[in-house]
Amino acid sequence: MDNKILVSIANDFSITPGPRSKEEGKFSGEAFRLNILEPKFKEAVEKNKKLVVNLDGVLGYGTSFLEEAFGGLARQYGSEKVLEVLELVSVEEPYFADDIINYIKDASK
Amino acid sequence: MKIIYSKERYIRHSRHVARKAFKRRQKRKAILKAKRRAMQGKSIIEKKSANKFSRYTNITAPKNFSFLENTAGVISFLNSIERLREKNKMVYVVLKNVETIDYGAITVLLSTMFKFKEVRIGFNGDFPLNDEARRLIIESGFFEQLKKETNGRSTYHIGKDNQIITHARKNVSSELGLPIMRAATRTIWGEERICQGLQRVLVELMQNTNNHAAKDRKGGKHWWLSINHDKVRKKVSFVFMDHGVGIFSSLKNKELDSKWYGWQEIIKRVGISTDEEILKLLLDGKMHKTVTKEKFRGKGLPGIKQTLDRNQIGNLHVITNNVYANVENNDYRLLTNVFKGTFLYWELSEKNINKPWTIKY
Repeated sequence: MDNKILVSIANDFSITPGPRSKEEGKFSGEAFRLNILEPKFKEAVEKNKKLVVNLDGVLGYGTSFLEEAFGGLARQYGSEKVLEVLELVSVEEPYFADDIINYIKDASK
Repeated sequence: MKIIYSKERYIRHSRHVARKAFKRRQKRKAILKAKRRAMQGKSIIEKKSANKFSRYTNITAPKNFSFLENTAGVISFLNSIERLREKNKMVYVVLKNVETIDYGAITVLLSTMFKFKEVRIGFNGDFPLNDEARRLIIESGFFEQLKKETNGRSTYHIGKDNQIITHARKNVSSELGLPIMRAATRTIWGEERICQGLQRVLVELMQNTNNHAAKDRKGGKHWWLSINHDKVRKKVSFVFMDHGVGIFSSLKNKELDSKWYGWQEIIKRVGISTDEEILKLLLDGKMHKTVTKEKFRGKGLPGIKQTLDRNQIGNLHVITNNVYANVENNDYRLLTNVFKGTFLYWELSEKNINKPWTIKY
C-alpha cells in the first residue's frame, strides 16, 4: 500500500455525490475535483505513486459528476497521465470504472 | 331656475339620464335573479362558497384526471388554466366530477397551484365526489397548500410521510436521495437497500431541469418530485416534472457554439422528422451519436433509459411538449396538444435490481 494513495468518495467526500458544478448544488464533481481529487493526484504524481479511487459506498452517481471530476482532471493534466496514475475500484457497480475511463479518454478530444 | 327646468333641452337630457339609470337597474336585477336561480336547491355551504369565489373563473377537470391515461385531456385542462394565469385571472378548479385520478395529475395540479401562488393570483378548487379520488387528493396535501403562503421560497415539502410526498426545489439536491431511498426500499423489501439506478435518475433529472428548463438562466425553474408508497403492492412510484420549456424546445434553442447546433438538419438526412421519433432516438442515445458523431457515453437524459434497460427502475413514461412515451413498452405517440414542460413517471418494485445497504452515514 506504500506506493498507493487512497481516496474513497463515500468516506472522503459524500455518500450522495451531486451535480457537475458548484453553482448547481452541493457535493458537485467540480468540488470533489478541486478539493480532493486534484490535490491527491498532484501528490501521487510528485511521489510517483498510484492514486486509487474507491467508488463504492455511495447512493449512486449522476453522469455529470463523474465526467466533471475525472474528465475535468484529464482536461487539465492530459488523458494519458491521468490513466497512468489513476486506479479505479468499483465492486458494487463495475460499469462505473468503464464509464470513467471513457470520460477521461473523451476529455482530450 | 324654473326657466331652466322647463326648457326642452333640459327635459330631454333628464329623460335620457333616467332611461340609462333604468336600464342599469334592470340589468343588475337580471344578474341577481340569475344568481338566485343558480343558487336554488343548494346548501348554505355551497351558497357561501359560490359567493366567495364569484370572481374566479371555473375550469372543470376531466373525469379521467390521469396524466398517463388521458394525457391530451389533462394537458388541455392545464393549458386552459395557464391561459388564465397569463391574463392574471383567478381560477377555481372544479374537481367534483373527477372519477379517476393519478399521482401524475396531482403533481401537475400542485405545481400549477404554486405558479399561481408565486404571483399572488387566486387559485382554489373543490373536492372530487368520488371517494378514492378525494382520498388521493387530500393525502397529497393539495388543499392544505391552498391556504398557505409561498413567500417565493425555492424549497417545498408537501404531504405526509410514506404516502404522497412532494418536494420542489431549483438546484440539484442529491442529498434528498438518502431519505427517499431509505423509505422507498423499506416499503418494497422491508429493509434498507441500495438502488443506484434510482439515485442516478433523480440526479440526472434535477440536473436537466437546473440546466435546461429555463430559456435564459440556470436554476430558473422549480422541479417537482412526488413519491407515492404502495405498501400493499410493495411498489413506490415517482413523478418528476418541471414547467420548463420541454425537451424539444430546449433542443431547438441550442446555440451556435453547441455541438448540437443544426441537429434538425442532420437527423432529417437520416430520415427522422417527427418529434416522437426524435424522443426515441434521444433516449436510446442514438441522437447523440448521429448528431455529434461521437460514441454515446450515457450522459444526461439517455442515462435514465439505461437504468430502465439495466432493470434498475420500471414502467418509465415520458411526456414532454407534444410527445407521450411509454418507454418500457416502446410506445411513442404524438399528442394533439402541447405540454409546456417535462414529465417523467417511473416505478421501483421488488423485481428491480437492488443491493444490501452498505452506506455509512
